[in-house]
Amino acid sequence: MLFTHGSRGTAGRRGVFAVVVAALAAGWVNGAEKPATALPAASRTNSADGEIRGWSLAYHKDGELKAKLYGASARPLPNGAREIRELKVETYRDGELQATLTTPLCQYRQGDDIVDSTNTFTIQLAENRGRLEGEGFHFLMGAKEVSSPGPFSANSSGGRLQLRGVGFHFRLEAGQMIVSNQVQALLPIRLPKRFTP
Amino acid sequence: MFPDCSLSRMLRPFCATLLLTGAAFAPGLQGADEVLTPFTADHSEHDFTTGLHHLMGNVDINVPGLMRLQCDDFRGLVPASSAEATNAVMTAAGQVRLHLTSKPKGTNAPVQFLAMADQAVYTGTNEMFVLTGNPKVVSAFGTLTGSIIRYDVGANKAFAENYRFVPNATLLTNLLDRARQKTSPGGSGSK
Repeated sequence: MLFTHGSRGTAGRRGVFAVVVAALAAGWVNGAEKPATALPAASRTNSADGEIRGWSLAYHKDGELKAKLYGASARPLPNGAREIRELKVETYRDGELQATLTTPLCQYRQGDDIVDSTNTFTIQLAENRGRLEGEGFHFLMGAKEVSSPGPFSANSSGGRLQLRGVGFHFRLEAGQMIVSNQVQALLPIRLPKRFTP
Repeated sequence: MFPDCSLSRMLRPFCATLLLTGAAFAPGLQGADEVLTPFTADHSEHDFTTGLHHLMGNVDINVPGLMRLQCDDFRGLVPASSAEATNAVMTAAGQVRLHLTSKPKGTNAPVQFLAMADQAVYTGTNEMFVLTGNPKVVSAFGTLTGSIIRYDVGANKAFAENYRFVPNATLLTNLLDRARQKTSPGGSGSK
């Protein structure tokens, strides 16, 4: 397990030690087999209820960086999950940024590598290739799959493709999406040219 | 395509009109650099890697006043770039209903056509519709059926195999009356 410094400020030894102890106590660090690597920001602090500010995490699988998670705060919940505020998840493929997911409030279950939220979310694909917005999601970090039961809208860069619906399952790695209900789509399928007004 | 008899000669232009004239298969909304076609459906699957879009359940492509395609299942293969948009391939299956509005040559009144089939395939490279599975085209002129009905949009021609055309009874009566007038001594046909 490798700890590295965060991006904000400089921590004293006492602060870093407190953070490490808190992380261990909270069960974030369960052994070398865990794919996630905590990246404690130097400025983060622990409150009485175990809340940690300036939270971040690197997620590796098979020795490869798959995702980085950043949160304004992380608070342990009775069910073992952490409540993350202002979460930002960056997914990576071959070291390149693939997509960025943001949500104001969610729960992160590190053991299952799952992020859940009933709040709004945005997924921005890298290089401005597309954007997806909705409400409520379930994100499997290992498989890089996002699903949602709620309404959503998506569009590709330049508006070449637009999608709306209720409920979806998005396989980020494969670039595949299933829309469950009430599909409304604008697709770049060109109909016969001679009938174009 | 049509039997060679006097009645068929009279009906031929109408039969031709049934499929061949200005069927307004128009695009929907305009994207940044290409035309986007509006779809609604119960659910769908999209593969952004291959460009295959699969819509299922009450699929409806509606361009008001111009064209409406309804079916149970729709697959559209979208080229990766807008420059290749003409390579699109579409397959509609299951209770396919294609409503077209057109203005036949020499008239200003729009004419409604309804094409029905079990399956309709459109290929953008040759702008050809192929209707199979009990294809039928219904309009005010009559009903055309066949084993396969092909519609070449670019050439504005239709080809039906094993076809059968049943003219509208009222239209047929009017045509026969007109024919009688032309062939009667006082009719225009005697001049």
